[in-house]
Amino acid sequence: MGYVRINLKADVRKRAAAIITTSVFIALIFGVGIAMLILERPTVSVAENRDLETMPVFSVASYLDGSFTAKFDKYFTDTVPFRDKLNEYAAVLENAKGLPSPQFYGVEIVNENEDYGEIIDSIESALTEPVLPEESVKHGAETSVTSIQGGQSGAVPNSGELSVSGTGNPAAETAPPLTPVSPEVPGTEASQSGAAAGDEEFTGDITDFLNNGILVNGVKMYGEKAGIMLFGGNDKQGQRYAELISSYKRELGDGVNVYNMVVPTSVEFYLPKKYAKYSNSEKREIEFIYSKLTDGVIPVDAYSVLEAHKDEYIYFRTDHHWSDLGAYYAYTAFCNAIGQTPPPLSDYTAKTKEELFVGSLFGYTNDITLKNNPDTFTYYMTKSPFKGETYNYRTLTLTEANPIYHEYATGSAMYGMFLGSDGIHVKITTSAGTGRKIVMFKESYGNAFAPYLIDSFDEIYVIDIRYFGKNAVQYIKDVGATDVLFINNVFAANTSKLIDGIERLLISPTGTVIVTAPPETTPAVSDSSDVQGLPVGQVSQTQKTQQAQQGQQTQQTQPPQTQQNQQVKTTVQQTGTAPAAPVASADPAVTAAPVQTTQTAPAVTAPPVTSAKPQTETGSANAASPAQ
Amino acid sequence: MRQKYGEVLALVFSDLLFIYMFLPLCLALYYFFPDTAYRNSVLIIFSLAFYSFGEPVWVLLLIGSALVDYLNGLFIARCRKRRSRAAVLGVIMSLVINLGVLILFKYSGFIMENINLATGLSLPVKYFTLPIGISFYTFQTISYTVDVYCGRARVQRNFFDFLLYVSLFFQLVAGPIVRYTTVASEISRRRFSVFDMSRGVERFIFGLGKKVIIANSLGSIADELLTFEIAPVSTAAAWAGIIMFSFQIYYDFSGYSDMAIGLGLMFGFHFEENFNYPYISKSASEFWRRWHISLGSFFRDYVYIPMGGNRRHQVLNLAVVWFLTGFWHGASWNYIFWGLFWGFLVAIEKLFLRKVLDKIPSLFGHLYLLAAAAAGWTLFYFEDLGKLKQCFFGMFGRNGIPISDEITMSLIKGSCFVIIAAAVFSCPVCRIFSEKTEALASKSAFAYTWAKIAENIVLVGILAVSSVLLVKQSYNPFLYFRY
Repeated sequence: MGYVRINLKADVRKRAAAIITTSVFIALIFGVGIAMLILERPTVSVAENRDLETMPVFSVASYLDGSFTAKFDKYFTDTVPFRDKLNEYAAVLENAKGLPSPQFYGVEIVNENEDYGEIIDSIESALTEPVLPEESVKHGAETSVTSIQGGQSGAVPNSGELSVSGTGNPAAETAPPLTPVSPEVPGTEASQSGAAAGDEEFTGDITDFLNNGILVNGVKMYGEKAGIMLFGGNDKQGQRYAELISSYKRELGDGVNVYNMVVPTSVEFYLPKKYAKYSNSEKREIEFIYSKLTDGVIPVDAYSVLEAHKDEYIYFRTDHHWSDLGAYYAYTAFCNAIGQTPPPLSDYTAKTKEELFVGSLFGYTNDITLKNNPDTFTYYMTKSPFKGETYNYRTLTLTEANPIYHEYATGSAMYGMFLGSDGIHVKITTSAGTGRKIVMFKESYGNAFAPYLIDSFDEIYVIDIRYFGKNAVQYIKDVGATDVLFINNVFAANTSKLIDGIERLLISPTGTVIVTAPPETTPAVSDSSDVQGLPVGQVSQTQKTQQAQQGQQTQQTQPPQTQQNQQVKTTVQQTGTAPAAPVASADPAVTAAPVQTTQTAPAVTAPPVTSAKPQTETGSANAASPAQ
Repeated sequence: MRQKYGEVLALVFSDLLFIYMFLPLCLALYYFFPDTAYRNSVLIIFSLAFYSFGEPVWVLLLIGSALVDYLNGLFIARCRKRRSRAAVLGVIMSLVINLGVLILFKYSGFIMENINLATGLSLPVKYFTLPIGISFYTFQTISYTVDVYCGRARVQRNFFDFLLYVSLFFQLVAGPIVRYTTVASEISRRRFSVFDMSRGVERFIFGLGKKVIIANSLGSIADELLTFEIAPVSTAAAWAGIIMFSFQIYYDFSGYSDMAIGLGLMFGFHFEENFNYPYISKSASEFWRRWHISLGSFFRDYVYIPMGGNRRHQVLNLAVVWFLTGFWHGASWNYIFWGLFWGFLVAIEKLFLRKVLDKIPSLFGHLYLLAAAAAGWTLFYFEDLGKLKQCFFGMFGRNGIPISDEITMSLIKGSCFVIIAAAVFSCPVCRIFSEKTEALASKSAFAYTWAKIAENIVLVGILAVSSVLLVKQSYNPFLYFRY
């Protein structure tokens, strides 16, 4: 009797347990399902800084080929309510899968890069070589390439492993930055169009640099975990870079000093020895470039001074740039080269942003380690008076005043603090009284550097190689520069697209360039030849051949320009109410800067993001570089 | 399969859209109707919708395939009634049509390519996109026709009931290969049981966790380690990659089978088990009695035994079966080698190895099987034979690079808890826990209650973790999708 009773009870218990399990499951899938239906779906991811998938339009054709359902599925998952929050949890879960360990993120070379192809070829041929030199056995593929290619830096060691993205973090595969930024401009247009192509050709995106990927968490900088971009390098491009700079000097003659500063990046000083094989030596590459300079180009040794101060906060942990302090030390090296005594750091007003800085490396890897180890952003403002002006990089017309230190720069775009953006041409007039004028060619590393020159030169012309569209030699002569500085980080100095830009500026059509045009009150919808200060007819006489070569490029540059101006207007409206936005937000570059960060990293500036879409879609008017 | 076909356009069980939309809707409508006939209609509609989610056009092929074997079944039944020997025509028809479709879509490109290679001709080579699940449902319909012919199954006279069997979305796209005889009675009559329901829920959630938490994590590691384009693979990377892949394919496929069996239970169907902890086997023969059971038993019952089994030309029979087993997995030489490799092991075990293994400590049997599985999966992973060679070279330190590298180490370290879990759950720990818990029910109310509470918390946890991971995961392939 008792036996039966117990069994009955056991049956009841089992039944109760089964009912509970079933009910919980049913409640969960129905509850979450209904929540997914009724809760508002996000359209934008602030964390990833991109527009989310949209609901596909139904059509019989799209249903039949399966694309409707596929897109619908993507849309459904991508726009799950609270997705950003859930993604944060997912990142925590991913992190909890194992012990903290170094993460290798491969960065795809998104724009077709001829050198990369060659390197792959060379490595493949190296691998098929039957007998490898002795040391290659020790060091692996990269050394074998070096030896076989006769000193050509092999780059991309083990890139088979590195080229896969998102080590241990599938999230990175979905990370938008790793997807192509903009479609490759068809060759004909890109090679002929000068400035018009410049911004599309080379966006200054990390992924545009020839690199070996990003290492996170295996590295410490200044006591905290950091991310580091591994150096690939390419001697062939480095040599071209050196030769092109030398030809600038040849063109300019003895009257103008031409300086070349190739800046090492953080990987050189902070990469632990055990990972050395994943990155090539930047020191060697810089020395190589310097050894190829001819015609009296003066090399500036930024390396030694940075190395001497490597225990100081000279690079960012979460961003691929150097800090303002690093730029200062490079400036002291430059002062030595130009025969000046640099002012001590104490002469500057040091300020630190209250907001912590999580930069581009997080944008690319989505690695929570970086987010948990944000940078502090300290900058040093000169006390000397100066006047900054922004010029349209296409037309070289003055657009507005530039405060140079854009102190409200925020979020992942904080490096935009300096100059405001890459996509502009900046002129700084100072009271240094040295009688020297400098034209500076740079990519984004130069942005932090440029303001230091205020104490050394009367006039400073900052040209971003990627955006400027006029003949540079002519321009240097026109402004009466006494000095010319090429300042680029070593990745850029090895990257063909940037070097193409230097070449383009050298060979692009000469013409009179107006640098002090009156500020335009109306958006420049006029013909570009007009702003070159010559009557239309005259220009077409003098530049007929070039323009003929360019075909309709000149015309084609116009629509984007108009768009840009429109863009400025809309963004001004949008940011107008933002408390941080100053009056000077009419500066197209500044206002556009957060917009452009679409490709970089999570920005905290939500409103402008919505306006990013039309711009990125047209692929034009890239007013600012994402990785300024 | 992975490399060749890229992204599979299909609704999968481990998809938020499936878990939180499709499944609740299907359950609600299904249980809204009290009548089995209506319920079957709901299942057919949802199954076809499920299938059409990927490539709607193949729904027609599916229905066509079902129709052919439905008619074959009727024909065979009529012949049998008249004791006519023409019944065999029905079987032949079924084989020709089903295998014809399978060969056309799955193997024609491979066959033509190899004919060209062998003869020097240049016949046109065309690779078709493979209709999802075709390898599974063609086998199911073949099994039905043959079973009707052999008298093991009664003929199904209702086409929609037969269509339900063929199209049932639980097992449609990635198995298990459900025999008609297994579900024949349940098609027309099913009893709801809350025990089935809760067991189904458990199976589904455990399957989901196996897939999303373990298989996807380790699979991405395997792909990273084994995708070497330029640099050679280090010894550590090759071994770690293959071990991760061994886990991935087991958790992926058995997870999917768990989900299919679980879904079946939720709707009142009882499918056969498809996996039974294969990695605890002590021999190749045992492994194949525990791995993808529905496929192994299909080949046993429909190829090996009809050919004569171990009574006549056993070696030939084995060779054919294992060739087919390999070939079934994909139209590529590496799958054939993989199948023959297992066939070879099974054969030598039958000859002598079995006796040896029985005598020595079982540890050696386990080690032998694990090594064999690793070697097998290496063959299986690389469709590119050059890469296969490179990987084997790497495994034995013949690539001339250091045996280990930081990337491999960091990948392993970064997912070490998942890897440990994968190893532990390859052993029947969950089953033992579940058995012990059920035994507690009649012994201690207190212990039983707490064990059940713990179990439910774990289930909700797995569901929550999997769902959150799915929001972010882009790496969510089903390896057995294109078979």
